[in-house]
Amino acid sequence: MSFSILGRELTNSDTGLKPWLELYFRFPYEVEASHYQIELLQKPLPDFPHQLPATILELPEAKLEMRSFEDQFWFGTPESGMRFTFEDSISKLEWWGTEIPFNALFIGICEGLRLSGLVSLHASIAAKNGLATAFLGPSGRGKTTTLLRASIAGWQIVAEDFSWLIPETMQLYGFDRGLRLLPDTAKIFKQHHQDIELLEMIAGKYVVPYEQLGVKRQAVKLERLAVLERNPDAPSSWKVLPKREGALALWEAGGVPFTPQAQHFISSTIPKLLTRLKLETLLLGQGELPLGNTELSQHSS
Amino acid sequence: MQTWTLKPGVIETDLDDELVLLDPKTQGMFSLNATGRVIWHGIKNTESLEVIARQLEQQFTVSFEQAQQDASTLIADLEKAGLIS
Repeated sequence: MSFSILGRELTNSDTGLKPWLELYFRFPYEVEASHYQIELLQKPLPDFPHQLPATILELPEAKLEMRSFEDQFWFGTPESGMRFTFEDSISKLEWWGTEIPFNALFIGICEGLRLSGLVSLHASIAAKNGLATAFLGPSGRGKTTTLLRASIAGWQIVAEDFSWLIPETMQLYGFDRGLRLLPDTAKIFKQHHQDIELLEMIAGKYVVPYEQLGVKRQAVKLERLAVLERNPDAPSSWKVLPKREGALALWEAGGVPFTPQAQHFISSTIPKLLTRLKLETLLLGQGELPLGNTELSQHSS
Repeated sequence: MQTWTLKPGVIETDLDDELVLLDPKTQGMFSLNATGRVIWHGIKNTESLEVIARQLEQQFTVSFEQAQQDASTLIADLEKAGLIS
């Protein structure tokens, strides 16, 4: 099977991977085809480089060993893992094991996309009049809650957790499929969207598919970074974000690539993004969040 | 002659008016102004404190002694932050 991820062709020969690939990477966006390719191949276990020192990657729900030598990167173990290589415009992910190394494959595909010139964002994204704001901050800071408040204030939901940006055009594409809400948050949200159904629960959170909310799958132009900051003693407000804080927020939201080439690409792209975006801090404090038209237009400059 | 080694993996983001250093392992961030940028490039080029101070003296209105002191202070901060050793 093969399909396009924002114009980059992904090919895969293993039918067992198809549902997972489609869930995480197949979205109906129309983007002009590029010459970049990502190839997934299931292969017998190659020589595993036990002799190389392993770096432990801390993932949200797992740990993953990574080893590297020149332009080759190994993830996982001899029992289940993936080797990542790239040359020119082709990233190759060779994987092995009776258990599919999903974490390694996700990391590898994302690296291939970065090497093709895309920037990933772990952020909540909402848009108004086609212009998007990325709400950034560490886990637990209030990204999802802010997204819901924006939605209630009339903003369009673009992504709750993950999206890809084409920096040349600043077009942003949501790459997740629904909201994941803690029970208390879900109940409050349902008061404003009475037609949603809270049926499926994963890892203690209700999943609300975007279809239920009428979220449209379309590109939006990224206009603003809003780093969330809690301050219960002050009124909720916007304030200017220094460029260096914006740089750190983008690194945190995008993650640090493992290949030097992708690191260089992100390093050189972040300063360009910072000059094109409004950089703000959204203080989550007392009172309503300033998400109405008046507050935004007054602050924007 | 003492020189310094960069910690592997430290990432630079050049914002024109400042150079931001990021250690991906600790998420520690260090921001360098124009003077700091000269010192950082000197460190990367394995130059000694004296050579770095001479460059500062030439590029900024500062005495050699003051340049040496400024460079020493920043180098100590970078060592403390784990960005060089």
